[in-house]
Amino acid sequence: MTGYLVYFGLPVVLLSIGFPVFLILLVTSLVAVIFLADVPMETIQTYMFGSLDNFPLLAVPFFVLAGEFMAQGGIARRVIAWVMSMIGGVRGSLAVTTVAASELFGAMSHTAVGTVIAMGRMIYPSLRDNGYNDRFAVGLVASSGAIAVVIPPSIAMILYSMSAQQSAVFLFTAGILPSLLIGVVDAAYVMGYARFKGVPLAARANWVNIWITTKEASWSIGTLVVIFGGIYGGIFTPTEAAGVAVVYSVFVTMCIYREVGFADLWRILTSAAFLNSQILIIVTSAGIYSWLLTTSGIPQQIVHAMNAMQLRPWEMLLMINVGLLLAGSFLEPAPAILILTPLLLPIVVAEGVNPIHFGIIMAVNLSIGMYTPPFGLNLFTSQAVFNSPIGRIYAGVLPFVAINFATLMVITYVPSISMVLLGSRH
Amino acid sequence: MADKILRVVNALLAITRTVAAVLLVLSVIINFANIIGRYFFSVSISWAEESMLFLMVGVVFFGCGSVSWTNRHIRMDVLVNMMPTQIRKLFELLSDLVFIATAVAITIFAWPVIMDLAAFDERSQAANFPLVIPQSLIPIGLSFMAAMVAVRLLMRSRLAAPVRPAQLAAPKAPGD
Repeated sequence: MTGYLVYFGLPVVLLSIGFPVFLILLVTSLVAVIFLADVPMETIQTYMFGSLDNFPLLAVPFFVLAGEFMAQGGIARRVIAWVMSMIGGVRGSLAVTTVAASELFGAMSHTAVGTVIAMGRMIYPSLRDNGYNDRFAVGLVASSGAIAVVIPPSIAMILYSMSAQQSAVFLFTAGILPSLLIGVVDAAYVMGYARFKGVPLAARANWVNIWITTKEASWSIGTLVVIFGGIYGGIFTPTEAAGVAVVYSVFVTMCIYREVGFADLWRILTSAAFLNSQILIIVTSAGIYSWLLTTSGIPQQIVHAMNAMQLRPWEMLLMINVGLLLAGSFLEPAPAILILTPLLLPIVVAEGVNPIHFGIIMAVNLSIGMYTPPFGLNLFTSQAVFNSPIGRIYAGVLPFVAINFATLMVITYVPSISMVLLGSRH
Repeated sequence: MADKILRVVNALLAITRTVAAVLLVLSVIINFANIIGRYFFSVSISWAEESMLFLMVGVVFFGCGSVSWTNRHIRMDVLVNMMPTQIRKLFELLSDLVFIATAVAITIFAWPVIMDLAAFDERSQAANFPLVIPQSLIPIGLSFMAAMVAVRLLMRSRLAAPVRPAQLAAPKAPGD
């Protein structure tokens, strides 16, 4: 009982009174080492260092840095113009553009908030001008931006791969179809919405415009070629691909587009170092917490308790999904994955769920949590970007929460959507 | 006196931010050089992986001083923001004090490990780099963060006005 109070009760109390996540993990670990676990005090230092001493984790600082360059160097603008030029002549084309451009920019920048900011600033005014009401437009941008958590190569998946001891490349591969499915379902919904609301038809796509925007965006799109081509072509590891993405984005934004100068360069570097510190201090604190939790035997006890409840696998997965959705609306994906993976993974594995498939379920779920009322981070980002009342934003995202939760159920109960591309490799 | 302390803090933060940014750049350069070497010259840098990991530890713990000074660690603050100001401030103070105590405790517990690494001159396998350096970045970084938090608390109690954002001077960082 004491163990549950320390490992769960204490973090929940500290979380609700606003303690930083890394501090909650450190305090809990410290209390556990002093009062509960039969381990030497030096273990804290060893595991804190060990959790950072992990090569795949290096992809995180590189992707963060690359994302900073892309967000500030004109790449987002060109990607949006490119997608917009190709999707014309259908009702709802601008809304579909928002979904598609969010997927593309999310895959390049790996940041949900960054994607919401970029899409919000560039597409939101056009959405309003083209007959979409404020509630829908805000809901669309806030929810589409969260796709960055799922679409590979995502930082959430890298952290999960580390926490669950799974291959990051397998996770990236498994994430391709689910993220496309989310995009397709969202696109179908927004097209239906546009038809129902009688949103005016956009101009037809024309080859001249497509050619011009493609030429303009070709260097931006090259980022995807570098990342995906490098990883799936077996040329780079994900970490190396992330590093190459940094060099490539520096080259494109500074030498080709010339939208980042030397003064901006320093600002971007310090900003990326700051952001990396914010994320990775949680990783280092989660290392000791996860180890103590795992060795405490609590996850095994929970597995036994779940077995005793004789839940069918689908019931257990539904319960976990609802729990994750709640957790995701309070916590950002990175800390949620680092805290919950060591607890949930043994439970689902005992029920026969593949760890790679569960990683995708977690990522999709936590991405929905980012715009689930009342506390999803994208909601407050949208409030800052659009200056809309929070009530209107809540109303705007609710249809997307419902639709994407339904998609999550499909992804959860049809594992082949995630696993088919892995073939016999897993 | 308070101004002098703030000047020293800002100078220290400028240095640590610069070091964190430089370490990040170094890491990118080593990664890129390793790929170029492997694919174009069939030579890979044996110490690349280890050194990049050590640099990442440096980025985190040199960068965290600024995060602590600006109180911008990732947290779930929505519930706290709904509470009355006095209670919120009380929890913030509690959080800062608990952090200082935690950082001191972890530094004390880490000390024997650091001493052993130094005494036995333990080195990394590939880079033959003294492990005491990257390992000691954790207690040093935590102590520096605790010092920043302590100064921030002292400044708050001694100055009538809270520390101004310009004095905090941290880059704006987006969340995830």
